Amino acid sequence: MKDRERLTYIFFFTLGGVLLLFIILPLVRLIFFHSPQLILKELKDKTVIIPIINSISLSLITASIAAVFGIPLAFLMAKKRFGRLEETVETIVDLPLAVPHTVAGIALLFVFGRRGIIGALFYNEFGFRITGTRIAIVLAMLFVSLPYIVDSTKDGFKKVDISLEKASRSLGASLFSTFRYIYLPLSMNEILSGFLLTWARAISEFGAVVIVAYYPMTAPVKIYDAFTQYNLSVSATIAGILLVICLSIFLVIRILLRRKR
Amino acid sequence: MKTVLALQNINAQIGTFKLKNISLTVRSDELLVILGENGAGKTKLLEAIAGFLPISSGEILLYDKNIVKLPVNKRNIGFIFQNLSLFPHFTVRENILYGARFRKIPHLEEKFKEIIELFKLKELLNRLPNTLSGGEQQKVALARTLITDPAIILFDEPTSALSPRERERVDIEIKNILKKLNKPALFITHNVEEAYLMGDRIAVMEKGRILQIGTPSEIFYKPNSETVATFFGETNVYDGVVAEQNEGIVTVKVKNVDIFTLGNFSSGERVKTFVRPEDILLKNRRSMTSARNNFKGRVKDFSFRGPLARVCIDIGIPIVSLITKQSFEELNIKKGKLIYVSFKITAAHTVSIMHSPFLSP
Repeated sequence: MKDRERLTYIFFFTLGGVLLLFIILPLVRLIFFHSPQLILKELKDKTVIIPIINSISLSLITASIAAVFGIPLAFLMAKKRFGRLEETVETIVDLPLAVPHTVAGIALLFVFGRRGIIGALFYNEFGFRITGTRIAIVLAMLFVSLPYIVDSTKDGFKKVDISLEKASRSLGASLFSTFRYIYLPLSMNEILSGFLLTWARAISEFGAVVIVAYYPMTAPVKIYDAFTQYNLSVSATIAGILLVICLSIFLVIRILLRRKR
Repeated sequence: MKTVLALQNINAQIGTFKLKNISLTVRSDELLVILGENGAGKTKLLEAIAGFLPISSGEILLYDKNIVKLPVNKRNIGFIFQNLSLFPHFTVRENILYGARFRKIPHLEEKFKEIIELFKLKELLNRLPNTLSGGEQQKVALARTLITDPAIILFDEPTSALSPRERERVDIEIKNILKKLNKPALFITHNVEEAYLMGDRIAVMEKGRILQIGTPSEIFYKPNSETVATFFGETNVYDGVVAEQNEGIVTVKVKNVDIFTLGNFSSGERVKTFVRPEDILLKNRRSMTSARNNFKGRVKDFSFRGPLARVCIDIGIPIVSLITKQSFEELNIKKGKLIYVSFKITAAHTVSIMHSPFLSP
């Protein structure tokens, strides 16, 4: 009986171990594909460094915009201010998670493209084309990544004991002050991890971005672009750097979440 | 003494629960306790007064000003919550000074010092709430509310999480501080002893309405309904009919037993008579006391309640007496033993079923 038990564990450990290796091996291989010297050399090339800077900065802008619009929405949802529409609103917020990213890109094109509802307005009134600009990239990133900060922040607000709100109000604080001094600081962990998740999602977005803006290039687009031109060295450099950035964000999230517990 | 808070015919609906026609007043020197079982609507009433719950009709007057339309933060009503609700991310100092962010508090610094002194919180100012004991948290919550100088403080069972001994200590402290600062308060509890200890007056609440308001002894000795009577533990309740009325002394017939009581009733009126078990004396001989109610009966059963013995005697109707263990032994009580039962005419409190809307005949 004991032997059978041990055998089961060995069997399961083997299968599970294969899976873990399958994840780790390619990533580690990618990070160490180039020597640091070679990476530094490649980085001197403007067509390599600019997409990386684009990705980092635009995804950060995206996450900030998502926070500015998403936190108030999360508060309304956590306080059940939508009444009977609550589930509908929740579904709408999470829709981008279910939509394939290229589909999202095409859908955005119909709104912000030159002939789209909003895109046409900008084009005809100001002679300004949204597609192919950094604005388009941010819009695409925002669409696919905003559910993360809304959901995470909503959970944070929900965890705040309602009696703290009541105590705050009875001590003279308005609703906004209560939001500012009680809800925000007490949900800071969830907001931060939502922000990082949104950022990570935005930085890795390819499908939606490539449709609304091939240029200016973001890192994932550049990786794809270099790859199709048989320039694996550039591809791997950017991929390796992007990977390190994403892993760092991921680790920070894990540490934040652990500290909360 | 001036009336600080007056509720006039408050009605409110919360889901399927209703607050029905609640009227009460709190005077400026007074601690009014609302006593009721869980689910009686005590917390809902407090929340309606504080402004957390909207009311459908009625008036809430604070110093004669109707505050029904004011938002919570403009009402100037202090609230001490069941879980105290200290802000976990703020230190004790920040918690106490929270109200000062939103209200101009005159002489804030002196006041802060005074309150810290009063509650002996000096050593704790830089601690976070979760490092404090229950009693310390209690003090911080009270200090945080008092510094904003509210017109009245509402207490929502703030001691329910404490052990009985600690509760009594904290209760006495709260009461002393309120009296010292001349703060009126509404204090709710489901604990009878706490109500007795704290209340200058007690309002008994059940199913969203107030059954009776009075001093503790009025509530205790002159309950207007069975619910109120039984709130203070088991009591003898008799449904009877007024047989005779003679110079203020009323004879109530309960089955074949005559109970003498005081009051003003007409013959044939249906009444309820309450007698507290601790007011009932047991003797081995016919007593020569002045008590007008004397009976002879046999011990039906008995049991012990800590230091007390509960003895049930059949005098034609069952009657329960609470006596000390010492008396129990001296009387040599056994099942079936013949015993003499007496209680004073003033110990029997009688209410008319007609006049009390809360008694079903």
